[in-house]
Amino acid sequence: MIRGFTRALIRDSHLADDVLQETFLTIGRKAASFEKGTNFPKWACAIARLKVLEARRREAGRVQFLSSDAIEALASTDEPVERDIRLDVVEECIEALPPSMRKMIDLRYVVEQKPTKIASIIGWSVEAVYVGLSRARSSIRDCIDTKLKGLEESA
Amino acid sequence: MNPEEQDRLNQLLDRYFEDRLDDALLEELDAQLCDSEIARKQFWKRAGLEESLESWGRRQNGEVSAVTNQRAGGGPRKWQDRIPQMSGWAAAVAILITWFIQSRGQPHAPNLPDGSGPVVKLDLPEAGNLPVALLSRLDRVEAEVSYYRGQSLGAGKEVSIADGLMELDFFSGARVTIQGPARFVPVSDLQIEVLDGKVMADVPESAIGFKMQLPDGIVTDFGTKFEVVVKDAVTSRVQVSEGEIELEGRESRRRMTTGQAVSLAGADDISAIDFVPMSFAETLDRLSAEDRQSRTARWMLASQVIDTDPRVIAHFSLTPEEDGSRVILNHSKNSQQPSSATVIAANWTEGRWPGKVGLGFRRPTDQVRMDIPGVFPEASFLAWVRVDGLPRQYNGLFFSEFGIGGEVHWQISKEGAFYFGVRPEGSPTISRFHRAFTDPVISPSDIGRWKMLATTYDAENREVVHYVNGLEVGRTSLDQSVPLRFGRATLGNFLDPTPAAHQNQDGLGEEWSFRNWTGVIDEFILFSRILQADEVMELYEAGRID
Repeated sequence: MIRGFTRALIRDSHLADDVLQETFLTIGRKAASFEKGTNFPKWACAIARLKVLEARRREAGRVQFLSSDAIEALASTDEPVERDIRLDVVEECIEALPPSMRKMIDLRYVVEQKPTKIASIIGWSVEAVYVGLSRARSSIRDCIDTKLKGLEESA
Repeated sequence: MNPEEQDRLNQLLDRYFEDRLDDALLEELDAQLCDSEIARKQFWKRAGLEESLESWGRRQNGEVSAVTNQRAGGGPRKWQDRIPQMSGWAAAVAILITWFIQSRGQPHAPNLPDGSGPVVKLDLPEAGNLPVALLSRLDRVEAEVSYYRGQSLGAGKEVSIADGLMELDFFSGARVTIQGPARFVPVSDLQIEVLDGKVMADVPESAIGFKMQLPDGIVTDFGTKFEVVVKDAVTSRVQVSEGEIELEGRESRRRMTTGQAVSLAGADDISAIDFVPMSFAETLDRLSAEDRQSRTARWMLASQVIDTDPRVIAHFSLTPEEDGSRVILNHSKNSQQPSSATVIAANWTEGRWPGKVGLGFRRPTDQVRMDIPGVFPEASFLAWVRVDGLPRQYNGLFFSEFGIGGEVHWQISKEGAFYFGVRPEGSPTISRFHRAFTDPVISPSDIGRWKMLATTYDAENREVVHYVNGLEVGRTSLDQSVPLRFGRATLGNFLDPTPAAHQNQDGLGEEWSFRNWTGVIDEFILFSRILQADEVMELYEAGRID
């Protein structure tokens, strides 16, 4: 979750990893001061938020960031990153995709290709790849929502 | 927010997560995020989706390599490239956090299809639960039944896992790795039935002839490595990565050699498909490295909390740095004495999880000695132990110096019961102790498993409470209030200073004098206060293996 939080606010993956590392070092150092009964994820997120803001001050010239106001507002939203979506649900939903969408999701998230590269692999325009990916994600999102709702109801 | 605004926000968010927002668009998104709670919620929802797609992508292997030939450089990426450039503690805690969150409230209910109508069926042996294979490795296994490393699997007993990887060492020598969701039945030491899942078999010479029953066929192995994928009662892939196998389909049979792959899914029985490398080993290595780090990190965090407890007399946590040492440190920050203990004869070995170390006790000489001054009206004893057997009448966990007032004996009987005893005030050297015994709490099926044993002692209220794995298993009132002393105490053994003198006495003898533990102890904590039931459970949760 801390990873998701940091990754969402810092789009440069190397910088996000650095900040994540700083965050965990701090968490490790402060672990002794963590009081039992405190909400651990919340406590850890508060540390991550400070580290993200620090990184923003340091790196804003080099890397694109949201404004510090927006970061603060996002960090104070209740349950910032929604509870991890069960991977088996994600997998089922990905498997339910039509083949063309599935291929794009594979190329994007498994083979980790940038959309420009995907475009050249499958012979589409870059813009069409963006649209395709966006549709694939919406359809996964809808599928997850439906399944999670079903799970809650049957629980 | 009207539908157009909603669409616009979604577009902006897509672009944000695709890293293609120019400054003007970034400003537009920024303003929305500052002003609108709905926009912020959408942001986190989109972030959560991105994160789960990335996690899913990282987890894929084998099957999705179908597209790897289109990738520059070819070949699947090594797992090392995938973990962020962090090291040691930071990486460990990073993984810990991920674990911490992911492990909350997500028990997977296996929802697997029936493996209906196999075409050909091998004979099941009559023997029922005759053990035929050992679970040699488990990684992130999720199942309704709990499995543990070192467990033996009985013939004919179906195993069903919702997720994770299991490695089975059949007693014939065949090694089979299975990735969940999967269902399978070890049939004999030379046969397995696979109902569902991705399976890799490595068959050495000693197991040539090993058979794998599939819903729609049988593989007979001739010394090789091969892989199989079964889903919804259909075998979508059988392939040979090394050596030779024979595959019997519904209507025909075929010999297959290295690099060949077929599917049984089509109408024409056995049809050739492209060979796709499947990377079980990498996945196993990556998962187990992550598990090891996350496990160690979670334990280290919990240890820090224990070590700052002002009423911990001794915490022998046995850290990786102490591996092989003769002197082990008391990691409690508030304890004056003991500062250390000495390992005598006991062997360093693997602890609760790979990367955790522990001390193995087997011989009458194996022990850890320490000197603990003081008198304690309250105490709690806690140890993480692996029970490799209960061969002795008294199997020793922790003992005070022999013969002193307030001497305590913390041990497990041959029957698996807690035998906790305290020497009465002013008693002769050999005398009947105040006893707080339980019914048997360790059964033969616990042999080889890790347990957290704990006992709390309250002299004032004369009460002793015993726990196994965080749960109370016994409570006894003593008839006398005796504060405890430990003195020159022993962990994992009992020190009878004059065994010869006790050899021929009634009720004593060898079984009385020799009480070494049989198994491994990888953590011991002694408190000068009474742990409450919820604290014992918390300590169990922080230290448990899975």
